[in-house]
Amino acid sequence: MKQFEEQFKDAFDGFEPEVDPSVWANVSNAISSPAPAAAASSGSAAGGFSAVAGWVAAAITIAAGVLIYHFVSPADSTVSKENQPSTTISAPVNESNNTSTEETTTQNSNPVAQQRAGNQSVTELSEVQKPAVAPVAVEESQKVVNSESHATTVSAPEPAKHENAVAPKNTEKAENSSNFAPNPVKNTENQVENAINPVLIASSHCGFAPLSVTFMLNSNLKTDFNFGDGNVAFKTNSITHKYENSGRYTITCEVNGKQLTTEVEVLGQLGTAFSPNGDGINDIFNFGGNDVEKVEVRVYNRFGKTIFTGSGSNPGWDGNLSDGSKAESGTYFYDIFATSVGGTDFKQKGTINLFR
Amino acid sequence: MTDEQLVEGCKLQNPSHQRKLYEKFSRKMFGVCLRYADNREEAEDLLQDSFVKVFQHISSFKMEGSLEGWVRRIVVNTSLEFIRKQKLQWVNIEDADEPAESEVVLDHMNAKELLMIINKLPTGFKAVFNLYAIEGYNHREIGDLLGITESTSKSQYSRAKAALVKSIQEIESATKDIVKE
Repeated sequence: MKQFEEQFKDAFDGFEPEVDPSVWANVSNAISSPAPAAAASSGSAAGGFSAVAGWVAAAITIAAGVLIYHFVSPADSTVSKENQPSTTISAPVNESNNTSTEETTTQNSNPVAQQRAGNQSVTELSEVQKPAVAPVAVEESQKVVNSESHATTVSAPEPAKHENAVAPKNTEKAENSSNFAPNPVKNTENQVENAINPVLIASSHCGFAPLSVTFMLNSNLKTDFNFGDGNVAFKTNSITHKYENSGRYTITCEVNGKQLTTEVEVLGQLGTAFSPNGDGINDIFNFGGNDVEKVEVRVYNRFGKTIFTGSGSNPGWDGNLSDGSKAESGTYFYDIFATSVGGTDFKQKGTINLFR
Repeated sequence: MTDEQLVEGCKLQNPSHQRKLYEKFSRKMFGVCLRYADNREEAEDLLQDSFVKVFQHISSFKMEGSLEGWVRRIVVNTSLEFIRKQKLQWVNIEDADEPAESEVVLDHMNAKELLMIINKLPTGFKAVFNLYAIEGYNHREIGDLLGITESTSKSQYSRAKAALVKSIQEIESATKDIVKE
């Protein structure tokens, strides 16, 4: 009986795995100044994030908060009868955003919304104001994500390219914030809801099959989603859908009589396993294919250590570590940063199984 | 540098002493965190929170027990705090089958492989197993630590052990098959 426990105890006796340097950086930060300590622990209290990701998550939450605030703010101005938009907000608009501003504005000259809103000048004001701001906030949060994980890699997808703003990876965050954001419907009238310009947001616009994409609306409205692959979802504010097959899909939904669309490009599937045993079959795992122009990939082991990096149009891993030794059988994780042949930048995570 | 000097330096918040204390224990303590956490990120969070506590409370450490033991208790308590926050459903299994006296030999399994097996256990099983088999607490103490009864701790433990023995035996027989081929 005792023997079993003792064997375990002995096995762990000299177990001293490598610790990521970011942990010390965070600890040292936390003990030298009280303010970052609070931020760091709130990040980890959110649960499941790595220390660094905790920081990023905090930053994203703030960015998302800003985003949501701006979505809601036009409504507030209607209510408070102050017809002045807060001028500070529209300041950081750059050229690439102007395109999307125009696009969205034209899209928005929706007769229904204007009629219902009663006060036209307010509606126009808020519509012009809102899109000018939204892409900026989204872009900021993208920068946070990208600069954290791979400073050198592909640039963030331009919001102007798609009809709608892109919110990579942090959709959940945005979702959470939107739940906490005050719901304008509760204390005001329907016209306020109409004054908010509905936007359909996708967590990703491109990636290898099977690709899971989260779609959400910027307000608390619920509607039916058509995923463009024959599947639909009913009466929801946000939904994650998995595309199994490659193809170009148009996602549509209707809010207040207005049709919202976005596109997702799903690329041919990468494998999930390989067997680098020299038998000529499946000896190399390729991270590219015909659908991508260029790929950068990092492979991690179970303990988060980077064991392989590659780049090019179709980088392949032979299952060897950097010192030439063979990686053990097991599951490995990868991060991909790629540009599709269609010119869309994307990043994706996945796992591969190595068999020997 | 002795532990005593380390502690004195940390009490004065000397950054290089703090760094040295971290260097000295972080890897071993990370090993502890990995056993309680569900994944590496969680373990890093636990380790980070633990060391922040260590440095915040170092002034209350009297050189009566070992420094490592004290740090380790903070790490284990931080891990348990995290587990308690998850509000686990503890199911009391009265007649958990005691695993047949296992002929399991762990000689050829290293800590990483065992960690992989332990990590497959549900969080509650994992905590009880860690506390009893590796940290060496008894079931009454574990009950207090996790806010469960002694008998729940016992039944959780025997279930955890049965599950572990089973996966180890599975791995062993799988390995044998491969060797035969």
